[in-house]
Amino acid sequence: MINLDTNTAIAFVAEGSNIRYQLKAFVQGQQLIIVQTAFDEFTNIIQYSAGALEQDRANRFLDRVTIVPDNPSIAAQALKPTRSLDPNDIIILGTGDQMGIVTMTADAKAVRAATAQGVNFNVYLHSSYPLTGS
Amino acid sequence: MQKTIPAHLVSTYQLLQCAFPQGIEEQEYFPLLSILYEQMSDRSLAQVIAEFTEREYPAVLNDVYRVGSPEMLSSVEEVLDSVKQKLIRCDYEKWLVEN
Repeated sequence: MINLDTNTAIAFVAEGSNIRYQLKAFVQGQQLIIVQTAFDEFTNIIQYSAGALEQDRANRFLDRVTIVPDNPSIAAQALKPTRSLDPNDIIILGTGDQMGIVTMTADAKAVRAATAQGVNFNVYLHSSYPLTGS
Repeated sequence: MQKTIPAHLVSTYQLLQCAFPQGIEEQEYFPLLSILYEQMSDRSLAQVIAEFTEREYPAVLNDVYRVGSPEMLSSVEEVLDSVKQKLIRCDYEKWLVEN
């Protein structure tokens, strides 16, 4: 089972994403989950910035993903928000932590900021890729 | 309407207010995002820029993803320098070490 951050979900559906195949290879055969907070962000970004192709791909993508409630671990809840670690970073990474699974994310800065506060999240880091409006 | 800036973003918002009293010009927008990108989480950067520019958060977050993409075209050096100078005049160096 793998937890997907918002930026990962976007990189999966963005038109021309040159990292989609790398991400697909990593998740092959795994159950995919997305935390409610990440799901809400994802659908909002799709609404604002996706083109028709990306919208279609997002719909197909969501058919493969299970939405789970926000439930950050105790360790995550103790983290202090900073400009490098947003409250939503804590919820999403922390829920993966609570479930004992890998979280895929493109935000290495948030992961490093949590480490600096003594919490090491189990993550798969990758590059960002934005929606193009195509 | 009164803005409520989260405590962890107040100093960044104040930095922007000082550096861009007339607002962020279009050609400064992506250079500014790229300068602040390494110092802030994607979400925090998107939130403070959305608040300051009154753009929609989801659209700014996608712009932050663009800045983080390996395919992001590098900003014109002159504009990048000009944006950085504006920040430096407003205690950017102090802001860098405060977090």
